[in-house]
Amino acid sequence: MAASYSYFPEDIIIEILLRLPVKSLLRFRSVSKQWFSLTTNPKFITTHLHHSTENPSLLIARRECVDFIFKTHISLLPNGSTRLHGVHVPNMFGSPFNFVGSDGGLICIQLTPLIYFNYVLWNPATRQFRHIPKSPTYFTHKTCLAFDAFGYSSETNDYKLLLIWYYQEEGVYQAEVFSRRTGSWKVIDKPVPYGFHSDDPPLSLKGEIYWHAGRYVSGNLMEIIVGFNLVTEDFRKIDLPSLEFRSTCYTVTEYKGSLALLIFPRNMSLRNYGFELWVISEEGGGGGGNRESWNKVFTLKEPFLGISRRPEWVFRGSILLFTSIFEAQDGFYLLDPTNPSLQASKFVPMSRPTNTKYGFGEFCYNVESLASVYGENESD
Amino acid sequence: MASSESTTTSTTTKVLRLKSSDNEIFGVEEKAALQSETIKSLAEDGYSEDVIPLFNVEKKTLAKIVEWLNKHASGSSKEELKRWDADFVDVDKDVLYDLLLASNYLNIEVLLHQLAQKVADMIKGKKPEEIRQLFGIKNDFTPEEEAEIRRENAWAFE
Repeated sequence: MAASYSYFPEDIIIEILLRLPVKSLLRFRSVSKQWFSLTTNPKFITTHLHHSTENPSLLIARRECVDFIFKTHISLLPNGSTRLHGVHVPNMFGSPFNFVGSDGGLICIQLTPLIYFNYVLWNPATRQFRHIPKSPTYFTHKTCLAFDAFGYSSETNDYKLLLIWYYQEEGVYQAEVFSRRTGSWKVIDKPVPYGFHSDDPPLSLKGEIYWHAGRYVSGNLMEIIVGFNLVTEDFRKIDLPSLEFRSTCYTVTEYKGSLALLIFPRNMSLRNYGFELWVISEEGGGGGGNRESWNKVFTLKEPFLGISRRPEWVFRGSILLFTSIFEAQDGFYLLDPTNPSLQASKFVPMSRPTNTKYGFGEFCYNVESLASVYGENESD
Repeated sequence: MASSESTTTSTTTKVLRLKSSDNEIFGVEEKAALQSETIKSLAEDGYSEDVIPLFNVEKKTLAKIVEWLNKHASGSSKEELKRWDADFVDVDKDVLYDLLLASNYLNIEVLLHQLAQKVADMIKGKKPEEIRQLFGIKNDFTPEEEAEIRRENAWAFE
Protein backbone atom coordinates (compact mmCIF):
# COMPACT_ATOMS: atom_id res chain seq x y z
CA MET A 1 0.00 0.00 0.00
CA ALA A 2 1.43 3.34 -1.01
CA ALA A 3 1.92 6.03 1.56
CA SER A 4 -0.59 8.84 1.75
CA TYR A 5 0.63 12.13 0.27
CA SER A 6 -2.32 14.30 1.14
CA TYR A 7 0.23 16.52 2.84
CA PHE A 8 1.63 17.71 -0.50
CA PRO A 9 1.82 21.46 -0.03
CA GLU A 10 -0.52 23.47 -2.20
CA ASP A 11 2.34 25.06 -4.17
CA ILE A 12 3.46 21.61 -5.38
CA ILE A 13 -0.09 20.72 -6.42
CA ILE A 14 -0.27 24.00 -8.35
CA GLU A 15 3.04 23.22 -10.10
CA ILE A 16 1.55 19.90 -11.25
CA LEU A 17 -1.83 21.34 -12.27
CA LEU A 18 -0.14 24.08 -14.34
CA ARG A 19 1.27 21.35 -16.58
CA LEU A 20 -1.99 19.52 -17.26
CA PRO A 21 -4.14 19.75 -20.37
CA VAL A 22 -7.51 21.49 -20.01
CA LYS A 23 -9.52 18.28 -20.36
CA SER A 24 -7.72 16.73 -17.37
CA LEU A 25 -8.20 19.92 -15.32
CA LEU A 26 -11.96 19.96 -15.99
CA ARG A 27 -12.17 16.30 -14.92
CA PHE A 28 -10.06 16.90 -11.80
CA ARG A 29 -12.39 19.64 -10.57
CA SER A 30 -14.40 16.84 -8.95
CA VAL A 31 -11.40 15.47 -7.00
CA SER A 32 -11.94 17.68 -3.94
CA LYS A 33 -13.00 21.16 -2.89
CA GLN A 34 -9.35 22.24 -2.84
CA TRP A 35 -8.75 21.05 -6.41
CA PHE A 36 -11.99 22.69 -7.53
CA SER A 37 -11.07 26.04 -6.07
CA LEU A 38 -7.47 25.85 -7.41
CA THR A 39 -8.60 25.11 -10.98
CA THR A 40 -11.31 27.78 -11.03
CA ASN A 41 -9.09 30.50 -9.54
CA PRO A 42 -8.62 33.36 -12.08
CA LYS A 43 -4.95 33.75 -11.17
CA PHE A 44 -4.34 30.04 -11.75
CA ILE A 45 -6.17 30.23 -15.09
CA THR A 46 -3.94 33.11 -16.23
CA THR A 47 -0.73 31.38 -15.10
CA HIS A 48 -1.83 28.15 -16.79
CA LEU A 49 -2.43 30.12 -20.01
CA HIS A 50 1.06 31.63 -19.89
CA HIS A 51 2.39 28.12 -19.38
CA SER A 52 0.49 26.76 -22.39
CA THR A 53 1.73 29.68 -24.49
CA GLU A 54 5.21 28.13 -24.40
CA ASN A 55 3.82 25.09 -26.19
CA PRO A 56 1.40 26.25 -28.88
CA SER A 57 -0.29 24.19 -31.57
CA LEU A 58 -0.80 25.20 -35.17
CA LEU A 59 -4.46 25.93 -35.91
CA ILE A 60 -5.75 25.46 -39.43
CA ALA A 61 -9.19 26.78 -40.33
CA ARG A 62 -10.47 25.88 -43.77
CA ARG A 63 -13.65 25.52 -45.72
CA GLU A 64 -14.48 22.47 -47.66
CA CYS A 65 -17.23 21.80 -50.12
CA VAL A 66 -18.54 18.25 -50.05
CA ASP A 67 -21.64 17.42 -52.11
CA PHE A 68 -22.39 21.14 -52.56
CA ILE A 69 -22.38 21.72 -48.79
CA PHE A 70 -19.76 24.05 -47.35
CA LYS A 71 -18.31 23.17 -44.00
CA THR A 72 -15.64 24.87 -41.87
CA HIS A 73 -13.05 22.56 -40.37
CA ILE A 74 -10.76 23.50 -37.52
CA SER A 75 -7.78 21.24 -36.98
CA LEU A 76 -4.76 21.43 -34.70
CA LEU A 77 -1.20 20.29 -35.15
CA PRO A 78 0.37 19.82 -31.70
CA ASN A 79 3.93 21.03 -31.36
CA GLY A 80 6.37 18.33 -32.47
CA SER A 81 3.65 16.17 -34.02
CA THR A 82 2.95 15.39 -37.68
CA ARG A 83 -0.65 14.28 -37.12
CA LEU A 84 -3.55 16.72 -37.29
CA HIS A 85 -6.33 16.53 -34.69
CA GLY A 86 -9.88 17.57 -35.41
CA VAL A 87 -11.48 20.11 -33.05
CA HIS A 88 -14.97 19.53 -31.66
CA VAL A 89 -17.22 22.21 -33.14
CA PRO A 90 -20.54 22.86 -31.34
CA ASN A 91 -23.53 21.91 -33.52
CA MET A 92 -25.20 25.29 -33.17
CA PHE A 93 -22.33 26.96 -35.08
CA GLY A 94 -23.85 25.48 -38.24
CA SER A 95 -21.69 25.61 -41.30
CA PRO A 96 -19.82 27.21 -42.75
CA PHE A 97 -18.57 29.92 -40.40
CA ASN A 98 -15.86 32.52 -40.79
CA PHE A 99 -12.72 32.21 -38.75
CA VAL A 100 -11.72 35.62 -37.35
CA GLY A 101 -8.76 34.72 -35.14
CA SER A 102 -7.39 32.72 -32.22
CA ASP A 103 -5.28 34.05 -29.37
CA GLY A 104 -4.77 33.40 -25.67
CA GLY A 105 -6.85 30.20 -25.77
CA LEU A 106 -9.98 31.78 -27.24
CA ILE A 107 -11.20 31.71 -30.83
CA CYS A 108 -13.39 34.35 -32.42
CA ILE A 109 -15.63 33.27 -35.28
CA GLN A 110 -18.46 34.78 -37.26
CA LEU A 111 -21.47 32.57 -37.85
CA THR A 112 -23.58 32.69 -40.97
CA PRO A 113 -25.79 34.30 -42.09
CA LEU A 114 -23.55 37.32 -42.02
CA ILE A 115 -26.44 39.79 -42.25
CA TYR A 116 -26.97 39.33 -38.50
CA PHE A 117 -24.40 40.33 -35.94
CA ASN A 118 -23.09 36.86 -35.40
CA TYR A 119 -19.70 37.05 -33.71
CA VAL A 120 -19.03 34.25 -31.24
CA LEU A 121 -16.26 33.91 -28.67
CA TRP A 122 -15.32 30.27 -28.22
CA ASN A 123 -12.94 28.28 -26.04
CA PRO A 124 -12.44 24.99 -27.92
CA ALA A 125 -10.60 23.43 -24.95
CA THR A 126 -13.48 23.92 -22.48
CA ARG A 127 -16.15 23.92 -25.25
CA GLN A 128 -17.62 27.11 -23.78
CA PHE A 129 -18.94 29.79 -26.16
CA ARG A 130 -21.03 32.94 -26.15
CA HIS A 131 -22.42 35.47 -28.61
CA ILE A 132 -20.69 38.83 -28.58
CA PRO A 133 -23.29 41.59 -28.03
CA LYS A 134 -24.27 43.56 -31.10
CA SER A 135 -22.02 46.48 -31.91
CA PRO A 136 -23.79 49.88 -31.65
CA THR A 137 -22.49 50.86 -35.10
CA TYR A 138 -24.00 47.83 -36.73
CA PHE A 139 -26.67 48.92 -39.22
CA THR A 140 -27.07 52.33 -37.61
CA HIS A 141 -25.39 54.14 -40.48
CA LYS A 142 -24.69 53.39 -44.08
CA THR A 143 -21.73 51.33 -43.12
CA CYS A 144 -20.09 48.23 -44.34
CA LEU A 145 -17.57 46.10 -42.54
CA ALA A 146 -14.09 46.55 -43.95
CA PHE A 147 -12.06 44.42 -41.59
CA ASP A 148 -12.20 42.28 -38.46
CA ALA A 149 -9.46 40.86 -36.24
CA PHE A 150 -9.09 39.31 -32.81
CA GLY A 151 -6.25 39.32 -30.29
CA TYR A 152 -5.15 38.85 -26.69
CA SER A 153 -2.89 40.96 -24.52
CA SER A 154 -1.19 39.19 -21.62
CA GLU A 155 -0.35 42.59 -20.13
CA THR A 156 -4.02 43.36 -19.45
CA ASN A 157 -5.28 39.75 -19.71
CA ASP A 158 -7.92 41.02 -22.10
CA TYR A 159 -9.29 39.76 -25.39
CA LYS A 160 -10.44 42.21 -28.04
CA LEU A 161 -12.40 42.01 -31.26
CA LEU A 162 -11.49 44.86 -33.61
CA LEU A 163 -13.92 45.90 -36.35
CA ILE A 164 -13.24 48.55 -38.96
CA TRP A 165 -16.32 50.07 -40.55
CA TYR A 166 -16.43 51.98 -43.82
CA TYR A 167 -18.87 54.91 -43.93
CA GLN A 168 -19.85 54.91 -47.58
CA GLU A 169 -21.21 58.46 -47.81
CA GLU A 170 -18.39 60.14 -45.95
CA GLY A 171 -15.76 57.81 -47.38
CA VAL A 172 -14.10 57.34 -44.00
CA TYR A 173 -13.10 54.40 -41.88
CA GLN A 174 -13.77 54.01 -38.19
CA ALA A 175 -12.60 51.40 -35.73
CA GLU A 176 -14.60 49.85 -32.92
CA VAL A 177 -13.44 47.42 -30.25
CA PHE A 178 -15.19 44.86 -28.07
CA SER A 179 -13.34 43.98 -24.87
CA ARG A 180 -13.96 40.74 -22.99
CA ARG A 181 -12.92 42.44 -19.75
CA THR A 182 -15.60 45.14 -19.93
CA GLY A 183 -18.09 43.12 -21.97
CA SER A 184 -18.84 46.20 -24.06
CA TRP A 185 -18.03 48.06 -27.26
CA LYS A 186 -16.04 51.24 -27.67
CA VAL A 187 -15.47 53.47 -30.67
CA ILE A 188 -11.78 54.17 -31.28
CA ASP A 189 -11.46 57.91 -31.74
CA LYS A 190 -8.32 57.74 -33.83
CA PRO A 191 -7.94 57.84 -37.59
CA VAL A 192 -7.57 54.43 -39.21
CA PRO A 193 -4.48 54.43 -41.40
CA TYR A 194 -5.08 52.85 -44.80
CA GLY A 195 -8.57 51.55 -45.27
CA PHE A 196 -8.14 48.96 -47.96
CA HIS A 197 -7.30 45.57 -46.52
CA SER A 198 -6.00 42.50 -48.20
CA ASP A 199 -7.69 39.13 -47.88
CA ASP A 200 -4.73 37.77 -45.96
CA PRO A 201 -5.60 36.97 -42.35
CA PRO A 202 -4.15 39.32 -39.71
CA LEU A 203 -1.61 38.24 -37.12
CA SER A 204 -1.98 38.75 -33.39
CA LEU A 205 1.40 38.78 -31.69
CA LYS A 206 2.41 39.93 -28.21
CA GLY A 207 -0.52 42.27 -27.69
CA GLU A 208 -0.54 43.79 -31.15
CA ILE A 209 -2.56 42.91 -34.28
CA TYR A 210 -0.85 43.32 -37.66
CA TRP A 211 -2.29 43.26 -41.13
CA HIS A 212 -1.36 44.13 -44.66
CA ALA A 213 -3.20 47.21 -45.90
CA GLY A 214 -3.08 49.59 -48.79
CA ARG A 215 -4.59 52.65 -50.47
CA TYR A 216 -4.50 54.32 -53.86
CA VAL A 217 -2.59 57.60 -53.98
CA SER A 218 -3.08 59.25 -57.39
CA GLY A 219 -3.58 55.92 -59.05
CA ASN A 220 -0.69 54.15 -57.37
CA LEU A 221 -1.22 51.43 -54.80
CA MET A 222 0.61 52.25 -51.57
CA GLU A 223 0.96 49.31 -49.26
CA ILE A 224 1.97 49.04 -45.60
CA ILE A 225 1.58 46.91 -42.52
CA VAL A 226 -0.78 48.35 -39.94
CA GLY A 227 -0.26 47.56 -36.28
CA PHE A 228 -3.00 47.92 -33.67
CA ASN A 229 -1.89 47.91 -30.05
CA LEU A 230 -4.47 46.03 -27.94
CA VAL A 231 -3.46 47.86 -24.76
CA THR A 232 -3.15 51.48 -25.89
CA GLU A 233 -5.55 51.03 -28.86
CA ASP A 234 -3.15 53.02 -31.03
CA PHE A 235 -2.57 52.37 -34.70
CA ARG A 236 0.87 52.47 -36.23
CA LYS A 237 2.19 52.23 -39.74
CA ILE A 238 5.07 49.96 -40.62
CA ASP A 239 6.72 50.37 -44.00
CA LEU A 240 7.20 47.25 -46.09
CA PRO A 241 10.73 46.18 -46.95
CA SER A 242 12.03 47.54 -50.24
CA LEU A 243 12.09 44.71 -52.75
CA GLU A 244 13.80 44.10 -56.05
CA PHE A 245 10.53 43.15 -57.68
CA ARG A 246 7.18 44.89 -57.64
CA SER A 247 3.70 43.37 -57.56
CA THR A 248 3.99 40.98 -54.71
CA CYS A 249 1.90 38.96 -52.30
CA TYR A 250 2.53 39.32 -48.60
CA THR A 251 1.60 36.98 -45.80
CA VAL A 252 1.92 38.44 -42.32
CA THR A 253 3.41 35.85 -39.99
CA GLU A 254 5.77 35.35 -37.07
CA TYR A 255 9.38 34.17 -37.00
CA LYS A 256 11.26 33.54 -33.74
CA GLY A 257 8.96 35.85 -31.78
CA SER A 258 9.06 38.74 -34.26
CA LEU A 259 6.73 40.05 -36.92
CA ALA A 260 7.67 38.48 -40.25
CA LEU A 261 6.55 38.56 -43.88
CA LEU A 262 6.43 35.81 -46.45
CA ILE A 263 6.83 37.53 -49.79
CA PHE A 264 6.35 36.00 -53.19
CA PRO A 265 5.90 37.54 -56.62
CA ARG A 266 2.48 37.85 -58.16
CA ASN A 267 4.14 38.78 -61.42
CA MET A 268 4.02 35.90 -63.88
CA SER A 269 7.39 36.77 -65.38
CA LEU A 270 8.86 35.82 -62.01
CA ARG A 271 6.95 32.56 -61.79
CA ASN A 272 10.14 30.59 -61.40
CA TYR A 273 11.06 32.57 -58.35
CA GLY A 274 10.32 30.99 -54.97
CA PHE A 275 9.75 33.27 -52.02
CA GLU A 276 11.46 35.36 -49.36
CA LEU A 277 11.11 35.50 -45.58
CA TRP A 278 11.68 38.92 -43.99
CA VAL A 279 11.81 39.62 -40.27
CA ILE A 280 11.40 42.94 -38.53
CA SER A 281 13.84 44.19 -35.97
CA GLU A 282 12.66 47.02 -33.82
CA GLU A 283 14.99 49.53 -32.27
CA GLY A 284 14.06 51.75 -29.39
CA GLY A 285 12.97 49.11 -26.93
CA GLY A 286 9.49 48.41 -28.25
CA GLY A 287 7.88 51.51 -26.69
CA GLY A 288 7.30 54.81 -28.44
CA GLY A 289 9.43 56.08 -31.27
CA ASN A 290 10.02 52.71 -32.88
CA ARG A 291 12.29 52.52 -35.85
CA GLU A 292 11.66 49.33 -37.70
CA SER A 293 14.02 47.72 -40.14
CA TRP A 294 13.51 44.57 -42.15
CA ASN A 295 16.04 41.80 -42.60
CA LYS A 296 15.76 39.11 -45.21
CA VAL A 297 16.43 35.83 -43.42
CA PHE A 298 15.67 33.37 -46.19
CA THR A 299 15.33 33.27 -49.96
CA LEU A 300 14.14 30.36 -52.04
CA LYS A 301 15.40 31.17 -55.52
CA GLU A 302 13.70 28.32 -57.30
CA PRO A 303 10.42 26.74 -56.23
CA PHE A 304 10.53 23.10 -55.19
CA LEU A 305 9.21 20.61 -57.72
CA GLY A 306 5.69 19.43 -56.90
CA ILE A 307 5.23 22.07 -54.21
CA SER A 308 2.84 25.00 -54.31
CA ARG A 309 4.77 28.22 -55.03
CA ARG A 310 2.93 30.09 -52.34
CA PRO A 311 4.32 29.62 -48.81
CA GLU A 312 1.37 29.57 -46.43
CA TRP A 313 2.66 30.44 -42.98
CA VAL A 314 5.46 30.00 -40.45
CA PHE A 315 4.98 27.70 -37.47
CA ARG A 316 7.67 27.67 -34.79
CA GLY A 317 10.35 28.74 -37.24
CA SER A 318 9.30 26.34 -40.03
CA ILE A 319 7.70 27.44 -43.30
CA LEU A 320 4.50 25.64 -44.34
CA LEU A 321 4.62 24.50 -47.94
CA PHE A 322 1.73 22.56 -49.44
CA THR A 323 2.14 19.96 -52.13
CA SER A 324 0.85 21.26 -55.44
CA ILE A 325 -2.54 20.18 -56.72
CA PHE A 326 -0.90 17.95 -59.31
CA GLU A 327 0.75 15.79 -56.69
CA ALA A 328 -0.81 12.55 -55.47
CA GLN A 329 0.14 13.21 -51.86
CA ASP A 330 -1.92 15.81 -49.99
CA GLY A 331 -0.36 17.74 -47.15
CA PHE A 332 2.33 20.20 -46.21
CA TYR A 333 6.01 20.28 -45.42
CA LEU A 334 7.49 22.15 -42.47
CA LEU A 335 10.63 23.62 -44.00
CA ASP A 336 13.40 24.75 -41.69
CA PRO A 337 15.02 27.84 -43.30
CA THR A 338 18.38 26.90 -41.77
CA ASN A 339 18.25 23.52 -43.53
CA PRO A 340 16.03 24.14 -46.55
CA SER A 341 15.57 20.72 -48.11
CA LEU A 342 12.33 18.76 -48.44
CA GLN A 343 14.13 15.57 -47.38
CA ALA A 344 14.98 17.17 -44.04
CA SER A 345 11.44 18.56 -43.55
CA LYS A 346 8.62 17.01 -41.60
CA PHE A 347 5.58 16.13 -43.70
CA VAL A 348 2.05 16.51 -42.35
CA PRO A 349 -0.60 14.63 -44.34
CA MET A 350 -3.81 16.61 -44.80
CA SER A 351 -6.66 16.12 -47.22
CA ARG A 352 -6.64 18.93 -49.72
CA PRO A 353 -9.55 21.33 -49.42
CA THR A 354 -11.63 21.38 -52.56
CA ASN A 355 -12.71 24.97 -52.21
CA THR A 356 -11.28 27.59 -49.94
CA LYS A 357 -11.49 31.32 -49.70
CA TYR A 358 -7.88 31.84 -48.76
CA GLY A 359 -5.81 29.27 -50.58
CA PHE A 360 -5.30 26.29 -48.33
CA GLY A 361 -6.86 27.83 -45.27
CA GLU A 362 -6.08 30.23 -42.47
CA PHE A 363 -3.31 29.58 -40.02
CA CYS A 364 -2.49 30.77 -36.55
CA TYR A 365 -1.09 29.73 -33.21
CA ASN A 366 -3.45 28.12 -30.73
CA VAL A 367 -2.97 27.51 -27.03
CA GLU A 368 -5.01 25.51 -24.54
CA SER A 369 -6.59 27.51 -21.76
CA LEU A 370 -9.33 27.47 -19.16
CA ALA A 371 -9.98 31.13 -20.03
CA SER A 372 -13.64 32.08 -19.78
CA VAL A 373 -15.44 33.61 -22.75
CA TYR A 374 -17.05 36.01 -20.27
CA GLY A 375 -15.35 39.00 -18.71
CA GLU A 376 -14.84 39.57 -15.02
CA ASN A 377 -17.97 41.74 -14.76
CA GLU A 378 -20.25 39.33 -16.56
CA SER A 379 -21.70 36.03 -15.43
CA ASP A 380 -22.34 32.92 -17.47
CA MET B 1 28.28 7.71 -5.44
CA ALA B 2 27.78 10.69 -3.18
CA SER B 3 28.69 9.60 0.31
CA SER B 4 30.90 11.39 2.82
CA GLU B 5 33.02 14.48 2.38
CA SER B 6 35.17 14.65 -0.68
CA THR B 7 38.66 16.09 -0.20
CA THR B 8 39.99 15.48 -3.70
CA THR B 9 38.91 18.84 -5.05
CA SER B 10 41.29 21.49 -6.27
CA THR B 11 42.11 24.42 -4.04
CA THR B 12 39.83 26.78 -5.99
CA THR B 13 36.64 24.75 -5.55
CA LYS B 14 34.91 25.06 -2.27
CA VAL B 15 32.96 22.09 -0.97
CA LEU B 16 29.79 22.47 1.08
CA ARG B 17 28.76 19.75 3.48
CA LEU B 18 25.07 18.88 3.48
CA LYS B 19 23.56 16.81 6.27
CA SER B 20 20.42 14.74 5.72
CA SER B 21 17.67 14.38 8.33
CA ASP B 22 19.12 10.94 9.19
CA ASN B 23 22.60 12.45 9.75
CA GLU B 24 24.39 11.42 6.56
CA ILE B 25 26.85 14.05 5.32
CA PHE B 26 27.31 14.74 1.59
CA GLY B 27 30.14 16.86 0.20
CA VAL B 28 29.03 18.94 -2.77
CA GLU B 29 30.97 21.53 -4.72
CA GLU B 30 29.66 24.98 -3.94
CA LYS B 31 28.84 25.71 -7.58
CA ALA B 32 26.59 22.64 -7.73
CA ALA B 33 25.03 23.11 -4.30
CA LEU B 34 24.07 26.74 -4.86
CA GLN B 35 21.53 25.72 -7.50
CA SER B 36 19.36 25.22 -4.43
CA GLU B 37 18.03 28.57 -3.22
CA THR B 38 17.55 27.13 0.26
CA ILE B 39 21.18 25.98 0.51
CA LYS B 40 22.27 29.32 -0.93
CA SER B 41 20.54 31.31 1.79
CA LEU B 42 21.74 28.92 4.51
CA ALA B 43 25.31 29.29 3.19
CA GLU B 44 24.93 33.07 3.19
CA ASP B 45 23.74 32.86 6.78
CA GLY B 46 27.16 31.54 7.78
CA TYR B 47 26.60 27.82 7.61
CA SER B 48 29.12 27.45 4.76
CA GLU B 49 32.13 26.68 6.98
CA ASP B 50 30.09 24.23 8.93
CA VAL B 51 27.70 21.41 8.08
CA ILE B 52 24.44 22.58 6.48
CA PRO B 53 21.56 20.72 8.11
CA LEU B 54 18.68 19.74 5.83
CA PHE B 55 16.08 18.53 8.30
CA ASN B 56 13.44 17.64 5.73
CA VAL B 57 15.45 15.40 3.39
CA GLU B 58 16.37 11.76 4.04
CA LYS B 59 19.71 10.37 2.85
CA LYS B 60 18.25 8.21 0.06
CA THR B 61 16.53 11.28 -1.40
CA LEU B 62 19.47 13.62 -0.73
CA ALA B 63 21.77 11.19 -2.58
CA LYS B 64 19.55 11.53 -5.67
CA ILE B 65 19.37 15.31 -5.30
CA VAL B 66 23.16 15.57 -5.03
CA GLU B 67 23.47 13.42 -8.13
CA TRP B 68 21.21 15.88 -9.98
CA LEU B 69 23.05 18.96 -8.66
CA ASN B 70 26.42 17.55 -9.76
CA LYS B 71 25.16 16.60 -13.22
CA HIS B 72 23.62 20.02 -13.78
CA ALA B 73 26.86 21.78 -12.79
CA SER B 74 29.04 19.53 -14.94
CA GLY B 75 28.74 21.52 -18.15
CA SER B 76 27.08 18.68 -20.10
CA SER B 77 25.56 19.51 -23.46
CA LYS B 78 21.88 20.44 -23.64
CA GLU B 79 21.02 17.23 -25.50
CA GLU B 80 22.89 15.02 -23.05
CA LEU B 81 21.27 16.76 -20.10
CA LYS B 82 17.84 16.24 -21.63
CA ARG B 83 18.44 12.48 -21.98
CA TRP B 84 19.93 12.27 -18.51
CA ASP B 85 16.99 14.16 -16.96
CA ALA B 86 14.47 11.85 -18.65
CA ASP B 87 16.21 8.85 -17.02
CA PHE B 88 16.52 10.65 -13.71
CA VAL B 89 12.78 11.26 -13.31
CA ASP B 90 11.92 7.76 -14.54
CA VAL B 91 11.47 6.37 -11.04
CA ASP B 92 8.59 4.86 -9.13
CA LYS B 93 5.86 6.98 -7.61
CA ASP B 94 7.14 7.08 -4.01
CA VAL B 95 10.65 8.15 -5.05
CA LEU B 96 9.12 10.75 -7.34
CA TYR B 97 7.02 12.18 -4.49
CA ASP B 98 10.02 12.32 -2.14
CA LEU B 99 12.07 14.11 -4.81
CA LEU B 100 9.22 16.52 -5.44
CA LEU B 101 8.93 17.40 -1.75
CA ALA B 102 12.72 17.71 -1.44
CA SER B 103 13.12 19.91 -4.53
CA ASN B 104 10.34 22.14 -3.22
CA TYR B 105 11.95 22.38 0.23
CA LEU B 106 15.41 22.96 -1.25
CA ASN B 107 13.91 25.41 -3.77
CA ILE B 108 15.59 23.96 -6.88
CA GLU B 109 13.25 25.43 -9.46
CA VAL B 110 14.47 23.58 -12.57
CA LEU B 111 14.23 20.20 -10.87
CA LEU B 112 10.85 21.02 -9.32
CA HIS B 113 9.52 21.85 -12.79
CA GLN B 114 10.90 18.63 -14.29
CA LEU B 115 9.33 16.53 -11.55
CA ALA B 116 5.99 18.36 -11.72
CA GLN B 117 5.96 17.73 -15.48
CA LYS B 118 6.64 14.03 -14.86
CA VAL B 119 3.77 13.76 -12.38
CA ALA B 120 1.48 15.71 -14.77
CA ASP B 121 2.31 13.30 -17.62
CA MET B 122 1.65 10.38 -15.27
CA ILE B 123 -1.78 11.56 -14.09
CA LYS B 124 -3.27 13.42 -17.06
CA GLY B 125 -5.34 10.46 -18.29
CA LYS B 126 -6.57 9.36 -14.87
CA LYS B 127 -10.02 9.45 -13.29
CA PRO B 128 -10.76 11.62 -10.23
CA GLU B 129 -11.03 8.49 -8.03
CA GLU B 130 -7.54 7.43 -9.12
CA ILE B 131 -6.21 10.91 -8.38
CA ARG B 132 -7.62 10.79 -4.85
CA GLN B 133 -5.94 7.42 -4.30
CA LEU B 134 -2.59 8.55 -5.80
CA PHE B 135 -2.41 11.70 -3.69
CA GLY B 136 -4.22 10.43 -0.60
CA ILE B 137 -6.96 13.05 -1.00
CA LYS B 138 -10.29 12.77 0.80
CA ASN B 139 -13.38 13.47 -1.29
CA ASP B 140 -15.06 16.29 0.65
CA PHE B 141 -17.94 16.87 -1.80
CA THR B 142 -21.46 15.69 -1.07
CA PRO B 143 -22.67 13.20 -3.73
CA GLU B 144 -24.98 15.93 -5.11
CA GLU B 145 -22.15 18.49 -5.37
CA GLU B 146 -19.88 15.98 -7.09
CA ALA B 147 -22.58 14.95 -9.56
CA GLU B 148 -23.22 18.62 -10.37
CA ILE B 149 -19.54 19.36 -11.09
CA ARG B 150 -19.25 16.23 -13.21
CA ARG B 151 -22.35 17.15 -15.18
CA GLU B 152 -20.89 20.57 -16.07
CA ASN B 153 -17.99 18.93 -17.86
CA ALA B 154 -19.43 15.54 -18.73
CA TRP B 155 -17.52 15.40 -22.02
CA ALA B 156 -14.18 15.53 -20.17
CA PHE B 157 -14.99 12.08 -18.78
CA GLU B 158 -15.44 10.51 -22.22
